[in-house]
Amino acid sequence: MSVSSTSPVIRLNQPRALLNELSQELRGSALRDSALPDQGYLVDPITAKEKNIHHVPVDRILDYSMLDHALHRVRTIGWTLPKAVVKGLKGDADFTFSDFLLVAKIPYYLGGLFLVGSFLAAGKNKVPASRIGAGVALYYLGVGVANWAINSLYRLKYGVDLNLKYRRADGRVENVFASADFPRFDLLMPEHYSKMGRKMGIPPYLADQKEAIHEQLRQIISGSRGLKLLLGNALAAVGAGFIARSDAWGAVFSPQGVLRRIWTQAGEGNIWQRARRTVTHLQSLLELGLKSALAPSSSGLQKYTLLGLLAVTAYSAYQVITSVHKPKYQPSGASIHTPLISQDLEYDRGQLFQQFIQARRSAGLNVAKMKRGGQMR
Amino acid sequence: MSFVQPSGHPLSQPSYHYARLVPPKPLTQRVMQPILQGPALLSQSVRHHTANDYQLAQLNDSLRLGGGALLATLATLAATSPIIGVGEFLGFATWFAAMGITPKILSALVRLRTGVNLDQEYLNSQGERNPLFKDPKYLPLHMLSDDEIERVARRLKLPPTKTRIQRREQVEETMRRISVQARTWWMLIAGPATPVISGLICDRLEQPVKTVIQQIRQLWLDRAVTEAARKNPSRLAETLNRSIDTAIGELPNAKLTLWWQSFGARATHALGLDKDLKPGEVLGRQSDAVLDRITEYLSQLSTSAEERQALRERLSHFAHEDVVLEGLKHRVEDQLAAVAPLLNRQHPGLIAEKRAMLNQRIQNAQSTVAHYHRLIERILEGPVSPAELKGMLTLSNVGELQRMVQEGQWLSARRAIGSKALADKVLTSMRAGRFAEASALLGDGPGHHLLISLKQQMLRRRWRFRMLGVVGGGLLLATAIYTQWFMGRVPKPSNSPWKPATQHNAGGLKP
Repeated sequence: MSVSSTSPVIRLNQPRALLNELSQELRGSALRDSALPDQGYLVDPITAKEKNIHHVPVDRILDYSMLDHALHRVRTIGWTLPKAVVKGLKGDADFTFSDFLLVAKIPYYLGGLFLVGSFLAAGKNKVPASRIGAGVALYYLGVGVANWAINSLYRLKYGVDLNLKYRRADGRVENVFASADFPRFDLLMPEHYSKMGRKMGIPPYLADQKEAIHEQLRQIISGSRGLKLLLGNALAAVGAGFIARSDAWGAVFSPQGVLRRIWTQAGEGNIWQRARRTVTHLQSLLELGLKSALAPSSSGLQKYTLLGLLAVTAYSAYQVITSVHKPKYQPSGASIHTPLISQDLEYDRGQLFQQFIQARRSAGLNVAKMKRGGQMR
Repeated sequence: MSFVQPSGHPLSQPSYHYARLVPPKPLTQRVMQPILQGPALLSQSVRHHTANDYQLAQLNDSLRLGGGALLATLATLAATSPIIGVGEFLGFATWFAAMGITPKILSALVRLRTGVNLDQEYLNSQGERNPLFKDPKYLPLHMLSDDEIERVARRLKLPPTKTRIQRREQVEETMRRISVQARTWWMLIAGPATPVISGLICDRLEQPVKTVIQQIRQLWLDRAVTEAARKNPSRLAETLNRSIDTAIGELPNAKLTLWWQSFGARATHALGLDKDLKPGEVLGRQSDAVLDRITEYLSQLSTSAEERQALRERLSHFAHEDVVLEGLKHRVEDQLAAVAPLLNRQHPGLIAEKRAMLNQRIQNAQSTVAHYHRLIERILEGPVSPAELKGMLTLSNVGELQRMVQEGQWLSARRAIGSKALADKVLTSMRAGRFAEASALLGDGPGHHLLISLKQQMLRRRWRFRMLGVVGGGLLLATAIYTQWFMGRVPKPSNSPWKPATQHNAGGLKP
C-alpha cells in the first residue's frame, strides 16, 4: 500500500494519536476505546499489521525478554488476576474461558498453602507440617522444572518458543501455542519461520516451508503438553513422595533448626552468605533424600521408582529430540535430480523431502551444511 | 438412535451426531475412566503427537490421578509403620473426594436458589463430553427445553417479556451470569475447601480405618501362622512373632494400644470428666495440678442418691472390660498352643517367652481395670475424702513399695496396693526379685491413665484443632450468602462517560 497524503496513516501525525496509543497501553484494553466515536480507525487490521502501525488494535506477537516475562507475571498476579476475579464475581459479559483458566490457578496454589496451614494449626509439633510444606514446595518445583526443561529443550533443539506471547486486540496477553487445535500460526513472523526452519532442517527453498513447519509445530504443541504432564507429575510425585518424607526437614525448619539459626544469629555473615548457606543446606537435604532412596537398605520398590523416573526423563528427552525428524519414509530410488517444485511436493511433502535428503546422503554430500544452504547455492 | 439424522434426508450425513445433553456419568465411570484411558491418551500425545485439546485435558486428569497414587505409594513406603502409611492413602483418596464434592455442594446451593443446574453436560458433534457452562462465550443453551427456561424464569421472578424468544434471551443471559459467578466462586473457595473437607473426613475416618486395617492384618497373620505351621515350619517362628506382636502390642498402634486408648476415652466419659473439665484446665498445666482438679471433681460427685444412680448407670457400660481382655488373651493362647509342638523343637523357650510377655501385658491391663473398679465402688458407696481419692488415683510404683518393704512398713505397702490378694502376689514376686512381673501385677494408677487420655481428648477440643470445622463452616456460610444475595443480580448500568453503555458492559436485561 502506498502511503500518500490522503492515506489514513497520515493521521498518526495528528497530535492526539500518540496520546491515544499511550492511553490504550495504560488501560490495557483497546477494544473498549474502539467503541469511542472519536477514535475512528482508518486503517484496516491487515494493513496495520503489515505496516506495523501500532495505534490500531490487532493481535500482535510480543517479543518478551526474560525481564518482560517476569514483569508480565507480576502484572498477571497483581492486576489481571484480581480484575478477572472481580469480573467473574459480577458475572461480567467480558469474562472468557481464558479468564477462568487464570482464576483456576488460585486453588492450585492456595490448596497447597492451606494444606500446610492446617498442619501448622494442628499442634506444637512442627515436624509433620514442615514435611508437608517441603512436599508441597517440591511438588510445585517438580512441575515447574518439568515445564522449564521441556520448553528449553524445544527452544534449543528446534527454536520453538512454546512460551511465545501475543497481545490480543482487546488487550489480553496470551500464549501463541496455547491450544493444540487452534494455534495462532497467523501471527508468526518471517524471522520465526527462518529460525525454526533452520533448526528443524526444513529449508526455505521448499515449496511450502511455512506449512511444513506448521505441521511440525502442531505435533510439537500436542507432544510437549503431554510430555510436560508426564514428566511434571512423575517429578512432583517422587519429590514429594520421598525426599519430603525425610526426618531432616523437621531439623531444618523447627524453631531450634538450622534455618532459624542461620537467619537469626548475629555471627552468620551478611545476607548473601546466609542465603548461600540456606541453599547449601537445602541442597544437601535433597541429596540425602536421593541417597537414602538409592541406598542398599532401602526397599526395592523405592529404587525401581527412581529408576522409573530416570527412564521417564530419558524417554521424554528422547521424544523431544526425535519429535521432528522421524525416519518414517524409506527412499525408493530417488536421485539427486528429484525436482523440487511445488506440484510434486504437494503430493507427499514429507516423503519427497526424506527421499531428497537420502539421495543427497548417498551422493556423499554434507547434509548438515546443505540444510544451512551451504551446498545449495 | 434418535440423535442420528435419518439417512434419507437429502442434506444429511448419516454419521453426523448433533450436540446433545447427556445424563451425568456414573461415579464408577468417572473414577475408572481416567485410569483406563490414560495409557492410550499418553501414547497418542507423547508418541504420535496427535492429541487434541480435549484429549490433553483428559490426559491431565489421568496423570494427576496417577501422580497422586504414585506419591501416596511412595509416602507409604517411607512410613515407619504400615499403618501410618495408610494415613497417606486415606489423605489422597479424601483429597480427590473433596475436590469432587466442593463443586457439588456449590451447585446444589445454586440450584436451590436459582433453579439453574450447573452440573449438566453435553456431547458435541465430535463425541466430546463437556460441561454445559464450560465456556461463557459459547454456551449451547439452545439445548435446554422451553420448560426449563420457564422454570428458571419463574424461580428467579424475572419480569415478563412479550415474546418467547425474548424470554429465552433474558433467561440465557441470566444463566450465563449465574454460571460465571458460580464458577468463579468455586475457584475462590476450592483452595481452602479441599484441604478442609479432606481434613474433616480424615479426622472422622482415621481411627475406624486404623482399627479395621489392624484387624485385617491380624486375620492375615493368623492365617499365615496356620499356613506356615502346615507348609513351611522354618518360617513359623518369624510369622508367629509378628502375629503376637500385632495382637498384644509391639507396634505403636497394636490392638492392646487401641484398647488402652478407647478404654481411657470410655472411662473419662463415664465419669463425666470430659464434660466438666475445660481444655485450659488440662493442657499446659502440671500433672499434679490436673490430678488435684480431677480429685476435686470426683470428691464432689457422690452427693445425692439420684446423681449416684445416674453415675452407676453410666459406669455399668464398661463393666465387662475384663471379658474383652480375657478374649484377647485366649486367642493368643490358642495360637500359641497350636504351634507349640512344632516350635518347641526349633526354638525352645520362645513359646514360654511369648506367653510370659502376653501374661504380663494382660495382667497390667487387668490390674488397671481392677483399680478402676475399686475406685468406682468407693465413689458409689458414699462420700470420699479428697485425700483418700488421691491415694486411690496415684498408686505407688514398685520402687516406692520396695522402700516401704525395706523400712518394714508392710501394712502401708499393702494399703497402698489396695487389694489384699493382689498385695500378696506383688510382694511375693518382689521378694523373688521379679520386678517386671510385680510392676505388671501392680498395673497403672487410674490417675495417670485418666490424665493421659484427658490430655489426648482435650488436644482435639482446642480452638486450633477445631479450626478446620470453623473454616469449613465459614466457607459454607459465605457460599450460602453469596448464592442467596448476589447470584444472578444485574449491576446498575454505569453512567460514566469513560465506560459507555454497550451491548456487553451495560449489563441491563431488557425486559
